[in-house]
Amino acid sequence: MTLAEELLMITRRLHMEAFRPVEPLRWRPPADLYEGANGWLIKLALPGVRPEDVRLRVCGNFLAVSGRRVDEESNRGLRLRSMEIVYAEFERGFEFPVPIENARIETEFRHGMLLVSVIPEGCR
Amino acid sequence: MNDETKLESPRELPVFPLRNTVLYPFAIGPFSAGRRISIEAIDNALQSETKEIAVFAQRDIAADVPAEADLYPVGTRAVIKRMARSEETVEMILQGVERVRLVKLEHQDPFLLARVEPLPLPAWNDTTEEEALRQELVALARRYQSLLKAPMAVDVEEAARQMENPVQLIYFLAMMPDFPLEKSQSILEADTALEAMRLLHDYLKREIEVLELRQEIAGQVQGEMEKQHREHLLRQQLRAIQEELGEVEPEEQEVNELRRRLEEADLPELVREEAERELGRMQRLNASAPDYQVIRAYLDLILELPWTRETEDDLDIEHARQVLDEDHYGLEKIKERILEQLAVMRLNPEARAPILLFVGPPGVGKTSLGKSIARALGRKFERLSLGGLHDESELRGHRRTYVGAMPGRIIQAMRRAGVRNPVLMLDEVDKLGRDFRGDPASALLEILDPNQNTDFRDNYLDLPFDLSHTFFILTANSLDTIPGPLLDRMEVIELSGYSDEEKLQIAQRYLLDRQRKEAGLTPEQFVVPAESLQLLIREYTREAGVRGLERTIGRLARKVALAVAQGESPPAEITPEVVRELLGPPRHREEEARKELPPGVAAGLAWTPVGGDVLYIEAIRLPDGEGLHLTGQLGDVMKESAQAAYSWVIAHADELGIEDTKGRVHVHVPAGAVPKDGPSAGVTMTCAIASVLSGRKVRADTAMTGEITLTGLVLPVGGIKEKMLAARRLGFERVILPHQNEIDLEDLPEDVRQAMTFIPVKKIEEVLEAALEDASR
Repeated sequence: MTLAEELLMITRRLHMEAFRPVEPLRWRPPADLYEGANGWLIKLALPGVRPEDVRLRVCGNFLAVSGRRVDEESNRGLRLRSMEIVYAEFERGFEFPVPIENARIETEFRHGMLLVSVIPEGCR
Repeated sequence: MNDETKLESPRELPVFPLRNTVLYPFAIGPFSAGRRISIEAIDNALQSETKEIAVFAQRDIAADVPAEADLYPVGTRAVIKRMARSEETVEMILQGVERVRLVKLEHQDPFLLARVEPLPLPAWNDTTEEEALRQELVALARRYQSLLKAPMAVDVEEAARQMENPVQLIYFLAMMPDFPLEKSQSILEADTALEAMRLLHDYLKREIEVLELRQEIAGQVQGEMEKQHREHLLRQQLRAIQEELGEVEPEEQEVNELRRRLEEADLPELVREEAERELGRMQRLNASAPDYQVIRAYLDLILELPWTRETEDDLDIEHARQVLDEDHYGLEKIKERILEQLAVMRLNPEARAPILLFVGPPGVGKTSLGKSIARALGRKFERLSLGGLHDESELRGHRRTYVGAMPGRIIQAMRRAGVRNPVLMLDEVDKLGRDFRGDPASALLEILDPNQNTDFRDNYLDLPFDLSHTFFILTANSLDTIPGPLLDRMEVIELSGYSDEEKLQIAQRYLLDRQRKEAGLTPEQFVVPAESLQLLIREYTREAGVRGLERTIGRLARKVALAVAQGESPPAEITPEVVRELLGPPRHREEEARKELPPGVAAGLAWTPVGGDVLYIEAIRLPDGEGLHLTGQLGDVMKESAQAAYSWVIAHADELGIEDTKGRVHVHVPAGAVPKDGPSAGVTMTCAIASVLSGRKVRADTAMTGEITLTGLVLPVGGIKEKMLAARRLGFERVILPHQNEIDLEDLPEDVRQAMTFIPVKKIEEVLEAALEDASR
């Protein structure tokens, strides 16, 4: 293989490796799942997310938590020097062994954590 | 759900213009912004709560601040996921969110602000065609990956399984190859998944074809290269390794060595040119090529041949005489001839070396005389035997085109000699063969002709070689089989046999010492008095030369040595008695001259290759019949000679006092088993026939030789010296010989001349007068 050929291959490989296109559009907040006698407690790390920007949806055995985080400092007249916190939509889904459409679902924000308690119908 | 509908309304976003690339929805990639308008746009985006920015590809990459027309109408709304600033640029990671259409560019300063309207994801209708195309694309992508031979961070099939949204997969696959902007943009603009996939399929396929073709071409070129140059490359590598190890390649070394020798050698211009041409050929050849060794051998020959090298002749005549005398007893005439030649060479250095032919029986010292001549002249001595040689190529070489070709013997001898003026002895020239492969004698003609041999051409060498400085000496036992033209070129020197006296001298001076040393005896342990030597000469050997004598002395010496080695006391002196004791009874009780001859018997002298001999020719008269009857394996010449003798005797019966010529005469020449021929027995047969018819006896002390004519003249014959020596050896006191042969008597040793009476005759009457006893006796 000639040198030119080699270089061509290398550039193409680099090009390919530069992109990691498999990430979903929405970011996934980390979550803990607790079990209790009556139901479950989900804790999601959602720092900087305003409660009004969080959306819960239930469908059959599924619970989806989505929303978005915005940069509340953006209108302070400051300039971002560097940015690591992702300001974008997020989404996280959970599957339960029983339908939860009629379950009692309560949420509470505490110290940047979203607590979601799920108590199925029969356990009420 | 409300939010999503909200996103679909037109909105204003800062624009990050891209050069040479697009950003697909779902795709994440690093971007770097350096232009002022880009950094301003990014800053603006960062000041928003959602960090959103619009990305459009630039049609014209040259435009620093693109106008609306400079941007493609379809771009991507993207989110800045991470960001960091350096001195002059902003590095960031963008993720495409959705396709947007550029509705209007609101302003260009300080950054591009665009009104955009969202476009839906290309429609995926879940048809069989779409599914087939999707699978085909995955396969193509895999092929593409394998063609790049890169360990991929992303496994295509794995990624395809993970991505539930088929459009996401399309965009993912579209990013793999580095498509030109137009192609990427067209995929981005496709409104249906089917269209996007078709475009991607075409582009990907073409990309693969290009890659395959490139590799095929590269492979082909490599294949051809391998065929032609594989060996060459390997050789080069080997050479490199050897150089690394400090070893020079043997071929190279060989060629260098030959070149060095060529430069140092003193060669004629013509030869040098040819040698350099051959060396050049050799250099281009591979050492395993068959021609390589052929050329090598040829160059070796050229370099070793003495083209101009000579030894300086020692032209001191006194020294030469001394050397010749030391080595050889007698042979005065030959020594004289050699000294003459020396004198000529001294006075005229350009004189052509003579070509001498030594003719004589075996063991008379022809070869050793050649060596002596070389020693006397201070030249090198080489010899080669021509005996049995029947192929011209042996002398002149084979052409180099033949496998196993070699130079001829002459050139080989010159190579061995190392100088171009050796004494070159060609032995046994009379035993040259001749057959369909050519006539070596004819080749000798060229070699020995002083006018031609200045540029003798050997078939193998194929270059002229100067043989004119070579001192040629040929040897032969007899002149009979040497072709006339060849004989004509040479100066014939006859070495006849030695007399008993000479043999005694030779034995005392050379042979005794030599054989004693050979046997490892001291002079005291091996004392042989003259009478013992004479006994050996007379009764234990019978030859013209001294080879048999030397062998016999050798046998004596070994027997003494055996006694010494066994601790016995050897005889103090080898007396004749001791000789008889050690060697047993004599081998040859030589036929001594008969004391008395009956009528009809005459002693003739004969010449044989091993020296002279005496033949008693016998004639008897038969009572009945008439004419002549001959026996004894006589040749035609001898038979005719006998007829002439008989006719002459009958014709002169009256004068000879022959009363009765009746009856048949039978002539026999012993020994009957040995073929005989030649005219020299003419006088002897005449005597025998006259004797038997007249009843007068032939004198027993007289031997004779000579050819006769029908009118009674006696003609000269050859081999006089040998014949005289034989007569002397056998005890004859008188010899009748042709008058014209009287001059040959000068060759005889003094003691022989003194001891014998020679009767030169011109006519047959004189022979009968001298040979026949008186009738009264």
